[in-house]
Amino acid sequence: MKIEISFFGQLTDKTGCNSILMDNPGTITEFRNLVIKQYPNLSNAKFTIALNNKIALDNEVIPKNAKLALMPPFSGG
Amino acid sequence: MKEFILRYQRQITLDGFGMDAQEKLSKAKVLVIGAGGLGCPILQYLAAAGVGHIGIADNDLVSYSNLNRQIFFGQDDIGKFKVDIATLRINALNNLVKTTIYKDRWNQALSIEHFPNYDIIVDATDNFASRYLINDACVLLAKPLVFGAVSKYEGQIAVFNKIQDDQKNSDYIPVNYRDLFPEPPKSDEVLNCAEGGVLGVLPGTIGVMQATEVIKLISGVGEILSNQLLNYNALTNSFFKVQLIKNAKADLLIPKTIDSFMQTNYEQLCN
Repeated sequence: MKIEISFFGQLTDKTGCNSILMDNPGTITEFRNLVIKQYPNLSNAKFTIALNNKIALDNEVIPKNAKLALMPPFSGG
Repeated sequence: MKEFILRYQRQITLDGFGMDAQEKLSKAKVLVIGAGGLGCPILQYLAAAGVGHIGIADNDLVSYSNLNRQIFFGQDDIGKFKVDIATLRINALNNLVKTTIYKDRWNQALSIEHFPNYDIIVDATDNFASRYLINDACVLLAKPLVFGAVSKYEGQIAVFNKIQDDQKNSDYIPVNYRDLFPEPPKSDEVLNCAEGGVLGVLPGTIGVMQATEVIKLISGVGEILSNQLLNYNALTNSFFKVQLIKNAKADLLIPKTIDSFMQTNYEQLCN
Protein backbone atom coordinates (compact mmCIF):
# COMPACT_ATOMS: atom_id res chain seq x y z
CA MET A 1 0.00 0.00 0.00
CA LYS A 2 1.36 3.42 -0.99
CA ILE A 3 1.82 6.36 1.34
CA GLU A 4 1.19 9.94 0.24
CA ILE A 5 3.87 12.61 0.66
CA SER A 6 3.23 16.37 0.46
CA PHE A 7 5.94 19.01 0.14
CA PHE A 8 5.45 22.54 1.49
CA GLY A 9 7.01 25.94 0.84
CA GLN A 10 10.35 26.13 -0.94
CA LEU A 11 10.80 22.35 -0.72
CA THR A 12 8.68 22.15 -3.88
CA ASP A 13 11.49 24.05 -5.70
CA LYS A 14 13.81 21.19 -4.75
CA THR A 15 11.43 18.33 -5.60
CA GLY A 16 9.72 19.93 -8.60
CA CYS A 17 6.30 18.71 -7.36
CA ASN A 18 3.79 19.22 -4.53
CA SER A 19 3.15 15.57 -3.74
CA ILE A 20 4.18 11.99 -4.57
CA LEU A 21 3.16 8.44 -3.73
CA MET A 22 5.76 6.07 -2.29
CA ASP A 23 5.99 2.50 -0.95
CA ASN A 24 5.88 2.48 2.84
CA PRO A 25 9.54 2.29 3.99
CA GLY A 26 8.62 1.36 7.61
CA THR A 27 9.76 4.13 9.95
CA ILE A 28 10.20 7.90 9.78
CA THR A 29 14.02 7.56 9.81
CA GLU A 30 13.88 5.15 6.87
CA PHE A 31 11.47 7.47 5.10
CA ARG A 32 13.79 10.46 5.60
CA ASN A 33 16.73 8.53 4.10
CA LEU A 34 14.64 7.35 1.17
CA VAL A 35 13.14 10.73 0.29
CA ILE A 36 16.60 12.37 0.37
CA LYS A 37 17.91 9.57 -1.88
CA GLN A 38 15.09 10.26 -4.31
CA TYR A 39 15.54 14.07 -4.10
CA PRO A 40 19.21 14.74 -3.25
CA ASN A 41 18.49 18.51 -3.17
CA LEU A 42 16.61 17.93 0.09
CA SER A 43 19.82 16.89 1.86
CA ASN A 44 20.73 20.53 2.59
CA ALA A 45 17.16 21.63 3.36
CA LYS A 46 15.69 22.07 6.81
CA PHE A 47 12.26 20.48 7.33
CA THR A 48 10.13 18.72 9.87
CA ILE A 49 8.00 15.67 9.07
CA ALA A 50 4.34 15.38 9.99
CA LEU A 51 2.64 11.97 10.02
CA ASN A 52 -1.14 12.10 9.69
CA ASN A 53 -1.22 15.77 10.77
CA LYS A 54 1.03 15.36 13.80
CA ILE A 55 4.78 16.00 14.07
CA ALA A 56 6.47 12.59 13.85
CA LEU A 57 9.24 11.06 15.97
CA ASP A 58 12.21 9.49 14.17
CA ASN A 59 11.53 5.95 15.37
CA GLU A 60 7.81 6.14 14.68
CA VAL A 61 6.33 3.35 12.54
CA ILE A 62 4.44 4.58 9.48
CA PRO A 63 0.97 2.99 9.38
CA LYS A 64 -0.94 1.89 6.25
CA ASN A 65 -2.39 4.68 4.11
CA ALA A 66 -0.33 7.26 5.98
CA LYS A 67 -0.11 10.86 4.83
CA LEU A 68 3.26 12.48 5.38
CA ALA A 69 4.10 16.17 5.05
CA LEU A 70 7.53 17.79 4.77
CA MET A 71 7.34 21.30 6.23
CA PRO A 72 10.21 23.82 6.07
CA PRO A 73 10.63 26.93 8.24
CA PHE A 74 9.52 30.26 6.69
CA SER A 75 11.32 33.47 7.59
CA GLY A 76 9.47 36.15 5.63
CA GLY A 77 7.28 38.82 7.11
CA MET B 1 -18.49 55.79 27.21
CA LYS B 2 -21.00 56.43 24.43
CA GLU B 3 -18.20 56.58 21.87
CA PHE B 4 -16.76 53.35 23.29
CA ILE B 5 -20.09 51.53 22.87
CA LEU B 6 -20.66 52.94 19.37
CA ARG B 7 -17.15 52.19 18.17
CA TYR B 8 -17.16 48.55 19.27
CA GLN B 9 -20.90 47.91 18.88
CA ARG B 10 -20.52 45.33 16.12
CA GLN B 11 -18.28 43.07 18.21
CA ILE B 12 -19.91 43.76 21.60
CA THR B 13 -23.14 42.47 20.01
CA LEU B 14 -21.54 39.14 19.13
CA ASP B 15 -22.71 36.06 21.01
CA GLY B 16 -19.94 35.00 23.36
CA PHE B 17 -18.07 38.31 23.06
CA GLY B 18 -19.97 41.16 24.70
CA MET B 19 -18.79 43.99 26.93
CA ASP B 20 -16.73 41.56 28.99
CA ALA B 21 -14.43 40.66 26.07
CA GLN B 22 -14.28 44.29 24.94
CA GLU B 23 -13.07 45.38 28.36
CA LYS B 24 -10.43 42.66 28.32
CA LEU B 25 -9.20 44.04 24.98
CA SER B 26 -9.09 47.57 26.41
CA LYS B 27 -6.91 46.40 29.29
CA ALA B 28 -4.59 44.26 27.13
CA LYS B 29 -0.98 45.10 26.26
CA VAL B 30 0.38 43.58 23.06
CA LEU B 31 3.86 44.00 21.60
CA VAL B 32 4.12 43.62 17.81
CA ILE B 33 7.72 43.15 16.65
CA GLY B 34 8.02 44.06 12.98
CA ALA B 35 5.87 46.71 11.26
CA GLY B 36 6.18 45.26 7.76
CA GLY B 37 4.00 42.98 5.65
CA LEU B 38 2.67 41.05 8.65
CA GLY B 39 2.89 43.90 11.13
CA CYS B 40 0.77 46.41 9.16
CA PRO B 41 -2.47 44.38 9.13
CA ILE B 42 -1.84 43.08 12.66
CA LEU B 43 -1.45 46.63 14.01
CA GLN B 44 -4.45 47.94 12.08
CA TYR B 45 -6.83 45.25 13.29
CA LEU B 46 -5.58 45.26 16.89
CA ALA B 47 -6.01 49.04 17.01
CA ALA B 48 -9.44 48.91 15.36
CA ALA B 49 -10.54 46.14 17.75
CA GLY B 50 -9.56 48.30 20.73
CA VAL B 51 -6.46 46.64 22.22
CA GLY B 52 -5.62 49.16 24.95
CA HIS B 53 -1.85 49.38 24.62
CA ILE B 54 0.14 48.39 21.53
CA GLY B 55 3.93 48.30 21.41
CA ILE B 56 5.38 48.68 17.90
CA ALA B 57 8.98 47.67 17.22
CA ASP B 58 10.83 48.15 13.93
CA ASN B 59 14.15 49.78 13.08
CA ASP B 60 13.42 50.07 9.35
CA LEU B 61 12.53 52.99 7.10
CA VAL B 62 9.75 52.82 4.49
CA SER B 63 11.02 51.98 0.99
CA TYR B 64 9.33 51.58 -2.42
CA SER B 65 9.68 47.79 -2.35
CA ASN B 66 7.53 47.72 0.84
CA LEU B 67 4.48 49.28 -0.77
CA ASN B 68 3.03 46.16 -2.48
CA ARG B 69 2.13 44.71 0.93
CA GLN B 70 2.85 47.13 3.81
CA ILE B 71 -0.48 48.89 3.64
CA PHE B 72 0.08 51.44 6.41
CA PHE B 73 2.53 53.28 4.16
CA GLY B 74 2.25 55.38 1.00
CA GLN B 75 4.79 56.90 -1.38
CA ASP B 76 4.92 60.09 0.71
CA ASP B 77 6.28 58.04 3.62
CA ILE B 78 9.40 56.79 1.82
CA GLY B 79 12.46 57.26 4.01
CA LYS B 80 10.48 57.73 7.24
CA PHE B 81 10.58 55.38 10.22
CA LYS B 82 7.88 52.72 9.87
CA VAL B 83 7.04 52.97 13.58
CA ASP B 84 6.44 56.74 13.30
CA ILE B 85 3.97 56.30 10.44
CA ALA B 86 2.33 53.29 12.08
CA THR B 87 1.71 55.18 15.31
CA LEU B 88 0.29 58.17 13.38
CA ARG B 89 -2.13 55.88 11.53
CA ILE B 90 -3.16 54.12 14.74
CA ASN B 91 -3.82 57.43 16.49
CA ALA B 92 -5.95 58.55 13.53
CA LEU B 93 -7.84 55.24 13.56
CA ASN B 94 -8.47 54.91 17.29
CA ASN B 95 -7.40 57.49 19.86
CA LEU B 96 -8.45 55.16 22.68
CA VAL B 97 -5.34 53.07 21.92
CA LYS B 98 -2.04 53.93 23.56
CA THR B 99 1.09 53.18 21.53
CA THR B 100 4.73 52.81 22.50
CA ILE B 101 7.36 52.71 19.76
CA TYR B 102 10.79 51.06 19.65
CA LYS B 103 13.16 52.18 16.88
CA ASP B 104 16.08 49.87 17.64
CA ARG B 105 16.59 46.50 15.98
CA TRP B 106 15.00 44.09 18.47
CA ASN B 107 17.60 42.42 20.68
CA GLN B 108 18.06 40.46 23.89
CA ALA B 109 18.30 43.49 26.19
CA LEU B 110 15.08 44.99 24.82
CA SER B 111 13.32 41.64 25.30
CA ILE B 112 14.40 41.35 28.92
CA GLU B 113 13.47 44.96 29.65
CA HIS B 114 10.13 45.17 27.84
CA PHE B 115 8.53 41.70 27.50
CA PRO B 116 7.43 41.74 31.17
CA ASN B 117 5.30 44.85 30.39
CA TYR B 118 3.20 43.04 27.77
CA ASP B 119 0.61 40.23 27.93
CA ILE B 120 1.27 38.86 24.44
CA ILE B 121 4.22 39.07 22.05
CA VAL B 122 3.59 38.96 18.28
CA ASP B 123 6.38 37.86 15.94
CA ALA B 124 5.96 39.77 12.68
CA THR B 125 9.68 39.87 11.85
CA ASP B 126 11.31 38.85 8.57
CA ASN B 127 14.42 36.92 9.59
CA PHE B 128 15.40 33.81 11.54
CA ALA B 129 17.81 35.57 13.93
CA SER B 130 14.95 37.70 15.31
CA ARG B 131 12.51 34.78 15.30
CA TYR B 132 14.76 32.52 17.42
CA LEU B 133 15.70 35.39 19.74
CA ILE B 134 12.03 36.29 20.34
CA ASN B 135 11.04 32.63 20.80
CA ASP B 136 13.77 32.01 23.37
CA ALA B 137 12.90 35.22 25.26
CA CYS B 138 9.22 34.20 25.38
CA VAL B 139 10.16 30.79 26.83
CA LEU B 140 12.53 32.38 29.36
CA LEU B 141 9.98 35.00 30.44
CA ALA B 142 6.85 32.78 30.09
CA LYS B 143 5.08 34.94 27.49
CA PRO B 144 2.63 33.63 24.87
CA LEU B 145 3.93 34.18 21.33
CA VAL B 146 1.71 34.61 18.28
CA PHE B 147 3.86 33.53 15.35
CA GLY B 148 3.41 34.21 11.64
CA ALA B 149 5.75 33.82 8.67
CA VAL B 150 5.48 33.82 4.90
CA SER B 151 7.34 32.39 1.92
CA LYS B 152 6.36 33.14 -1.68
CA TYR B 153 2.69 32.00 -1.80
CA GLU B 154 2.50 30.23 1.58
CA GLY B 155 2.24 31.22 5.21
CA GLN B 156 2.44 29.69 8.68
CA ILE B 157 0.59 30.71 11.85
CA ALA B 158 0.96 29.31 15.38
CA VAL B 159 0.49 30.24 19.03
CA PHE B 160 3.54 29.16 20.98
CA ASN B 161 4.27 28.95 24.67
CA LYS B 162 0.67 29.47 25.76
CA ILE B 163 0.56 28.53 29.43
CA GLN B 164 -2.78 26.88 30.21
CA ASP B 165 -4.90 28.98 32.60
CA ASP B 166 -7.00 26.05 33.73
CA GLN B 167 -6.26 22.39 34.38
CA LYS B 168 -8.88 21.02 31.97
CA ASN B 169 -6.27 19.15 30.00
CA SER B 170 -3.59 17.83 32.34
CA ASP B 171 -1.53 16.42 29.42
CA TYR B 172 -1.06 19.88 27.95
CA ILE B 173 2.55 21.08 27.75
CA PRO B 174 3.12 24.31 25.83
CA VAL B 175 5.40 24.00 22.80
CA ASN B 176 7.54 26.69 21.23
CA TYR B 177 9.16 27.35 17.84
CA ARG B 178 12.25 25.29 18.72
CA ASP B 179 10.08 22.21 19.28
CA LEU B 180 9.21 22.51 15.60
CA PHE B 181 12.62 23.59 14.26
CA PRO B 182 15.23 23.19 17.05
CA GLU B 183 18.03 24.94 15.18
CA PRO B 184 17.81 27.85 12.72
CA PRO B 185 18.58 27.16 9.07
CA LYS B 186 21.80 28.60 7.70
CA SER B 187 21.44 31.78 5.64
CA ASP B 188 21.75 29.91 2.31
CA GLU B 189 19.17 27.22 3.19
CA VAL B 190 15.98 29.31 2.98
CA LEU B 191 15.28 32.23 0.67
CA ASN B 192 13.86 35.36 2.32
CA CYS B 193 11.17 37.57 0.71
CA ALA B 194 13.75 39.79 -1.00
CA GLU B 195 15.31 36.75 -2.70
CA GLY B 196 12.31 34.46 -3.18
CA GLY B 197 9.57 37.06 -3.54
CA VAL B 198 6.19 37.20 -1.81
CA LEU B 199 2.66 37.77 -3.11
CA GLY B 200 1.69 41.16 -1.66
CA VAL B 201 -1.67 40.08 -0.28
CA LEU B 202 -0.26 36.96 1.45
CA PRO B 203 1.25 38.64 4.55
CA GLY B 204 -2.11 40.45 4.77
CA THR B 205 -3.92 37.12 5.05
CA ILE B 206 -1.42 35.71 7.55
CA GLY B 207 -1.21 38.95 9.57
CA VAL B 208 -5.00 39.12 9.88
CA MET B 209 -4.99 35.52 11.13
CA GLN B 210 -2.32 36.43 13.71
CA ALA B 211 -4.44 39.40 14.83
CA THR B 212 -7.41 37.03 15.13
CA GLU B 213 -5.40 34.71 17.39
CA VAL B 214 -4.35 37.69 19.55
CA ILE B 215 -7.97 38.84 19.93
CA LYS B 216 -9.10 35.30 20.82
CA LEU B 217 -6.26 34.90 23.32
CA ILE B 218 -7.19 38.13 25.09
CA SER B 219 -10.96 37.72 24.99
CA GLY B 220 -11.05 33.97 25.69
CA VAL B 221 -13.42 33.52 22.74
CA GLY B 222 -13.03 30.43 20.57
CA GLU B 223 -10.14 28.01 20.14
CA ILE B 224 -6.61 29.17 19.54
CA LEU B 225 -3.85 27.56 17.48
CA SER B 226 -2.00 26.56 20.62
CA ASN B 227 0.47 23.69 19.99
CA GLN B 228 -0.64 23.68 16.36
CA LEU B 229 0.87 24.98 13.14
CA LEU B 230 -1.47 26.13 10.40
CA ASN B 231 -0.11 26.31 6.85
CA TYR B 232 -1.98 28.34 4.21
CA ASN B 233 -1.31 28.09 0.48
CA ALA B 234 -2.70 31.04 -1.47
CA LEU B 235 -2.23 29.30 -4.85
CA THR B 236 -4.35 26.27 -3.99
CA ASN B 237 -6.65 27.79 -1.32
CA SER B 238 -5.59 25.02 1.03
CA PHE B 239 -5.15 24.98 4.78
CA PHE B 240 -3.09 22.28 6.48
CA LYS B 241 -3.03 21.98 10.28
CA VAL B 242 -0.44 20.00 12.21
CA GLN B 243 -0.38 19.04 15.89
CA LEU B 244 2.96 19.96 17.46
CA ILE B 245 4.77 17.94 20.14
CA LYS B 246 7.62 18.60 22.57
CA ASN B 247 11.07 17.97 21.13
CA ALA B 248 13.76 16.97 23.64
CA LYS B 249 16.39 18.73 21.50
CA ALA B 250 14.60 22.08 21.92
CA ASP B 251 15.05 22.20 25.69
CA LEU B 252 18.79 21.67 25.32
CA LEU B 253 19.12 24.61 22.92
CA ILE B 254 17.06 27.29 24.69
CA PRO B 255 19.09 29.47 27.09
CA LYS B 256 18.03 28.70 30.66
CA THR B 257 19.13 31.95 32.28
CA ILE B 258 19.06 35.63 31.38
CA ASP B 259 22.88 35.61 31.36
CA SER B 260 23.16 32.78 28.86
CA PHE B 261 20.39 34.35 26.74
CA MET B 262 22.25 37.67 26.68
CA GLN B 263 25.42 35.88 25.56
CA THR B 264 23.78 33.97 22.69
CA ASN B 265 24.76 35.36 19.28
CA TYR B 266 21.57 34.94 17.24
CA GLU B 267 22.98 36.56 14.11
CA GLN B 268 25.81 34.03 14.09
CA LEU B 269 23.43 31.09 14.63
CA CYS B 270 21.75 31.96 11.35
CA ASN B 271 24.85 32.48 9.23
